[in-house]
Amino acid sequence: MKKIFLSLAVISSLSVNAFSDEISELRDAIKLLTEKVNDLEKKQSQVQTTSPDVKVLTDKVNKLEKKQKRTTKTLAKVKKQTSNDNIKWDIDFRTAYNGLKYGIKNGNDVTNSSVFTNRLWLGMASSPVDGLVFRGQIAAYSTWGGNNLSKNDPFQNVNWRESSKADDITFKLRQAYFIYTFNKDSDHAISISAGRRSASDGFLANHREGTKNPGSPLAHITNMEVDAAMIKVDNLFGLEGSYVKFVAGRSYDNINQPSYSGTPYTNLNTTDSSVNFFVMPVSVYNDGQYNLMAQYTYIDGFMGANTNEISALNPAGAITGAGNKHMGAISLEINGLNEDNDFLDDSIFFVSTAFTTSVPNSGYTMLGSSKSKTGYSFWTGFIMPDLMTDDGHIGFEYNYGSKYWAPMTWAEDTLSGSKIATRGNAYEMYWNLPIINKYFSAQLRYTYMDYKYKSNIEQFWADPTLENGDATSAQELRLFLRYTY
Amino acid sequence: MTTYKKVALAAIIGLGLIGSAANADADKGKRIYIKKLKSTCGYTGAVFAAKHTQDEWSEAKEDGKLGEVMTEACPAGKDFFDSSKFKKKFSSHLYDFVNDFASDSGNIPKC
Repeated sequence: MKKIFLSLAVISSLSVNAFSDEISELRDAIKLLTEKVNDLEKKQSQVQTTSPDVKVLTDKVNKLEKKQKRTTKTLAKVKKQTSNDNIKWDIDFRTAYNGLKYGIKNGNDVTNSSVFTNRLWLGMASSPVDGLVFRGQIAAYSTWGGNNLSKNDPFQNVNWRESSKADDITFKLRQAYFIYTFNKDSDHAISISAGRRSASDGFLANHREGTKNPGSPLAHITNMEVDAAMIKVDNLFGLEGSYVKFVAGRSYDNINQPSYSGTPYTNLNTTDSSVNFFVMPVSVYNDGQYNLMAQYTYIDGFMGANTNEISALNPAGAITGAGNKHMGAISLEINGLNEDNDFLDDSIFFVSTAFTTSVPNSGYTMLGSSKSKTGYSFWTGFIMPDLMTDDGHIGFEYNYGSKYWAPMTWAEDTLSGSKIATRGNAYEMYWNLPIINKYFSAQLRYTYMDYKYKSNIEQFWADPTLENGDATSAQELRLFLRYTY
Repeated sequence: MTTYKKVALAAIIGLGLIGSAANADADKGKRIYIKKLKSTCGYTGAVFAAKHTQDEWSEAKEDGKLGEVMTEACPAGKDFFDSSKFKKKFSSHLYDFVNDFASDSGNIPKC
């Protein structure tokens, strides 16, 4: 037994000796490794602190991280603020001075040496997806101070000019329509649209209004606000910049029974009728220099006179449903007359001709006649650099209208009546001056209208022959300052 | 002298004094595109402008590489973008136009 214990003791002492050698080797190895790790750490920290590139980069990364955090916070705030805010707004504010003078047949001149107006348009736009657009505009156009204009106005709810005539400070709806464009990438993109549009500031009238981009209707026969539906087809003729629009709408709704009456939204006067229209504006060719446009318009149930309707309330016997009307115009603008000459390159020349034909129904008269009458008009203009300022332009225009000339220009083109509808001769000169880029501009404009027949402001049922008390001339001087952004 | 003659005279003098500095004009840029580039490039000005963001167009202008970047957007217009007329007369107006209708401009077409 003792032998056994002795043997075990010898074996274990030998094993312990053998293990202690290995442990010692391991300790040395660990020590070596620790020293190497320390060396490496030392070197790494030396590299980090001493290498200028790495230090700069590290600082930049830290700054960027901070910036990113701040941006994320700001973005979250912006997102919260703009959530469901789906309309972009723009402003067009104009304040104007107007001086007016009228010559009267066998009467004294009538003048108003100062009419001041404010006009504010707030534009709206949104487009949730590519190809679908909503646009709108509310407008307030008022004279400075109160007035008694509505007291003498026989018309109510006149949608075709509601926001285009200086009146009170009430906001009115000037535009609200959607446009949906399909096959957008095709050469013949088609757009459909419906709602309310301002067909004022149309093609060629933009110069005299100091506006760069004209609307699509031809201003020679159209200046009104319309409620209508439209289809537009691009590039119809394969000609540069061509398109055609088909517009159908209603300018007068034959209703006078209010919602609380026994027969709401009807008219018990069976001789009256609604007035509907069809308009086809066409861009025939537009290469940026030469722009040729044309338009045909048909109006059904137009106003005229029915002698049976003459009363104290309606002394002219004016009534809708008196007949139909056809109108047409063709206008050419040359923007840039000679590329090699700066003056001519910055000048614009335009010319336009138009007709209007009234076709009265049996038992009615239009323009004082029971027969069909046609009026003609000619309009030309030249706009050139003013040679005094860098971006200012001076424009000269001339209009002629014959006896039965009666276009749809019931929105305002001058405060003193429609210059374009003049039956006789009209002369105009204006100076458009950008003051601060496109954001702040001014205009000084003088218009002289020499009437050979009635001034054709709204009396489209009346005989155009001048009577005592009618205006034989009208003059307007306008100065405006305009802010657009 | 009537009131409006006085107003007219004062306005002419006043507006003449205010004057205006020469400005680049986005509308002019649009007309230049239609006139000089639309048929060459084969697409509308809106498509051309949307080839880059406002920052990218701005960077190209600052680096003096507007013609180069526009050539990338419309290779067929290279001769026009290389011309001295582009550099002297058209580039500032075209820049204003592409900046107004860049892909991130948020501008919504009217019709």
